[in-house]
Amino acid sequence: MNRCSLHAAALGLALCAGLSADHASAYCRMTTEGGAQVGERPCVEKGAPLVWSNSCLSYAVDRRGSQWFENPDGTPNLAEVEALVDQSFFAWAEADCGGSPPNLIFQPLEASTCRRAEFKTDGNVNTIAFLDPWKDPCAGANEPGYDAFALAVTVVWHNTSTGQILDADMMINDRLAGRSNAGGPYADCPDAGCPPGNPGPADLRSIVTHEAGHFIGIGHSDIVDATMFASAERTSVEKRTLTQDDIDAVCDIYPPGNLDQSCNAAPLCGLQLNCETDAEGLPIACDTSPGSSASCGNDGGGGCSASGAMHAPGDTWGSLLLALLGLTLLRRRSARRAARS
Amino acid sequence: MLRFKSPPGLMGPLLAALFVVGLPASPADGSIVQGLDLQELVAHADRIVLGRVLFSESFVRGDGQLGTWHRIEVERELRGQAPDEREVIVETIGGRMGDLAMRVEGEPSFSVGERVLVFMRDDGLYAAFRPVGMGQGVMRVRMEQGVETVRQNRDGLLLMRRNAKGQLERSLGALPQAERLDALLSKVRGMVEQDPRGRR
Repeated sequence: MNRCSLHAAALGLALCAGLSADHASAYCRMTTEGGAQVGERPCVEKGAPLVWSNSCLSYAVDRRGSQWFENPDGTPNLAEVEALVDQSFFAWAEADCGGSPPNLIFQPLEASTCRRAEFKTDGNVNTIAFLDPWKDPCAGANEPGYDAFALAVTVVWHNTSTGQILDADMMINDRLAGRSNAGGPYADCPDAGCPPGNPGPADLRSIVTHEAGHFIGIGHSDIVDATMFASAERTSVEKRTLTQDDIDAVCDIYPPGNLDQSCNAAPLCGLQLNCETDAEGLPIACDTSPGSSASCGNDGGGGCSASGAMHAPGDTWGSLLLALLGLTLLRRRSARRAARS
Repeated sequence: MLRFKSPPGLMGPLLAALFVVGLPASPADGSIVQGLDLQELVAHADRIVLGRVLFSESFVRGDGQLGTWHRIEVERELRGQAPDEREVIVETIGGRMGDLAMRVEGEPSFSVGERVLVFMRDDGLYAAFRPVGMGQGVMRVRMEQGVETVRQNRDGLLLMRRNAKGQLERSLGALPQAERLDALLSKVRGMVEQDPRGRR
């Protein structure tokens, strides 16, 4: 059985497990059908649950960082943002599943240049971007952006029939909050909570930790203390810490396995850290035909071909180069993180 | 138990590059949204209507994402337009086109034929209205024990708001529990009248 067959079998098992899940736990899973997840109605059980078939995952913070994290000289303090994002993601990867961590590895990449929540066939990056203005850069001038009252949105691209997650992008509203809109400031708040202000800072780790739950396919929970509870019952920093219900969710979906840090975390269709300009610095056009983008030349670490068709040799070599570049960048960032810690 | 083990070294990308993908894809969102109480929903709505969903149709937005336009037959206008305008278009982000679907958690969903109370925002030159506060701006009308009741659409939303100290805390939203339709309409009308912007 080749690797893709193994993935397909594993994905099938995951789908079966998800569909027949015992819902004694309070968390819900995101599914292809969506709809109500918490409250007076039970979890959605229609459709396939969303899951990464290869749970060796990478992400990158957009290099422009957030206006709320600056160095003394006024330049973006990307390192602090990356550190907070890493802590948020690692909270999930380091959950205690009865003595072992979940089979979930996060490999942070070098900073991306990508504020677009998209899934493309010529390369992807799971980007984490701070937006001001609060709209997709590809949206037209008169086209409405993300909802003015949203603080953060995680876009999870997935296969509508299997639920396999293909790409995930987290967008954070970087504007200053006002009477008619949500937004910053954001901060790394102390354990006692964020200091008061008008508007006071919101704890970035709490927001990213919640959104990272969606990133891996967890829906909302009806346990009040849970990170994935559908409203913030607790004070602003407590969503950083996973509760048993959150841990149950990540351990059930990604039970302990044998992934290690050497795993292949390249995104589906190859890594493309810069989704805005090409190698010559020219702008990459916005993709206005998502319906036709259902094939790519490299499945990265994230999945398998559904069609089995081969690309032209030129494309294959391009994909090989992309994959090699991805590995190099992954290792460089990992080494940098290791050195930093 | 699921086990995903990548081949060591360069084998992973080498094998990976030999395959292509043909997967119908769709995105879904999990959204953290500022919770709005009823007064705020009214204050931020350019238009408020009670109506029935006639049909929904998806399209590709300029940013490459999918959107859906929902045509709603206006039954009662609580704030808004010319009295002879009997239909309104509401846009939600996400939709379905062929095998491609884009779902946005936190965005409201509509079912053809259902009655809804919608709080909408006018984005200027754009041709359709957007619900206020994503799913918060849509309330479904249901018949419960012979009484028309309304429930707020909060699917996929994490509702938070800053407290007086600026800290994020729980928000119950505009309608924590189901409410009688007539009582809610009366309440909304009162708020509209008191709002400096009035009915417009």
